[in-house]
Amino acid sequence: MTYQARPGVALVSICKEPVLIPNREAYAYCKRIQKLPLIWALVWDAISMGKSMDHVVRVNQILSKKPEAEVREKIESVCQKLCEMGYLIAVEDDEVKE
Amino acid sequence: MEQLYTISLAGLTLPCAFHYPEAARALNAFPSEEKPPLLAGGGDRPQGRWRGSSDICIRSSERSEKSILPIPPVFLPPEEWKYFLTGDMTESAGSEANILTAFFSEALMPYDRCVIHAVAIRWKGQAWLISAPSGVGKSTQARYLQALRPGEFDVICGDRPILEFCSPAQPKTSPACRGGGPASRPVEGSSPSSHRDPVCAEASASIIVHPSPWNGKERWHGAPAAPLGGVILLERGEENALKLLKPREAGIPAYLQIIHANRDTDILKKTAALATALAETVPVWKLTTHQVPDSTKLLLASVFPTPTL
Repeated sequence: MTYQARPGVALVSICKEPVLIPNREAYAYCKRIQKLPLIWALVWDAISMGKSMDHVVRVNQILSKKPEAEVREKIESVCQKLCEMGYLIAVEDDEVKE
Repeated sequence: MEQLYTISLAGLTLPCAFHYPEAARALNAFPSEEKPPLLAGGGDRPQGRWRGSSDICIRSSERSEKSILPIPPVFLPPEEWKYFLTGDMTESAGSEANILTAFFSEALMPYDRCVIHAVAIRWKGQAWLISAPSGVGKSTQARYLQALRPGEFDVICGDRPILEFCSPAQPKTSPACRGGGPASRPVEGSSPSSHRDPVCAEASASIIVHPSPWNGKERWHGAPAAPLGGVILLERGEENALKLLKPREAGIPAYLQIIHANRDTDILKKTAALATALAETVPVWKLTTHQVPDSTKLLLASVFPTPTL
């Protein structure tokens, strides 16, 4: 599964807190404003810049010094939640290849 | 869009245009080739200030072509109406004047100004914002403040005042106090008086609250611009309570009250920056109100104390 950032969503910092804010088109799919844990913000930011899941896992593994499998599971879980909240769009790998 | 107008907001003169000419009159905008009217009752016009055709007093810049900001006219594109008409609202001069708040706010943001949804009151030379979504009781609180302490509180703007961010801590975003332009370059269209504005220069006057044409159904206005002393975020609750918020608690509520058209992610980012500046510059209180005037008395005792002799 690959993820893409929903168009029209901006990651901003309000008083040093990472927050996702959708514009009015994206607002149809997600909450008006969403405060995030830092790791979620880093994941969303990387995906919004087009980074692959492998890259995101690799960076987080270096930072956390945890086994890759554990980090991958955590990142995947974060992506799924962000997808449920509407800030990420899940794209099947077949669609990406096309 | 046949007729170009200009409007003076928070020390800047913006070009604008309207579908409905009545909306221009409601906002005290003037055709760009006309001079603003003289003071009601005649007499010479004081330098830099004029009183419009309604009883709204708005600061003006110099009335010359050079003083108008070099931006496209602020205008409500026809395709935008559908995003703003809610309930039984229809396209009209009144709704256009109302909706344009968002577009003017966005036009002001590169100049470190924005429109905020709040009642702006003035107490002992400082402005205080009472901010909340519609219907929570901002106007009621302001009315009770005036009733419980007659003569102490005036209203700068009853619905949507304009904030000007002059913080010296943010020089890259606030050259407004030096010349009224955005960070990247000086702007010849900025008000020549803004950087000499005595209101802006006093105190560590980081944020100035300006009157605006949007004064609410009560049409509350009259007090001049003042440096911002603090913000009161109002909410309804089961009991009256008052709490001083930390900046990270105040940032998001402040963000939600800054007005914009919610189209452009760059504007969302700028709004977040302004909300951060607001929350980190002045005290922000959360007033939970269950019953007036008891909640107002709580506010008076803690935020607006009367010095004891």
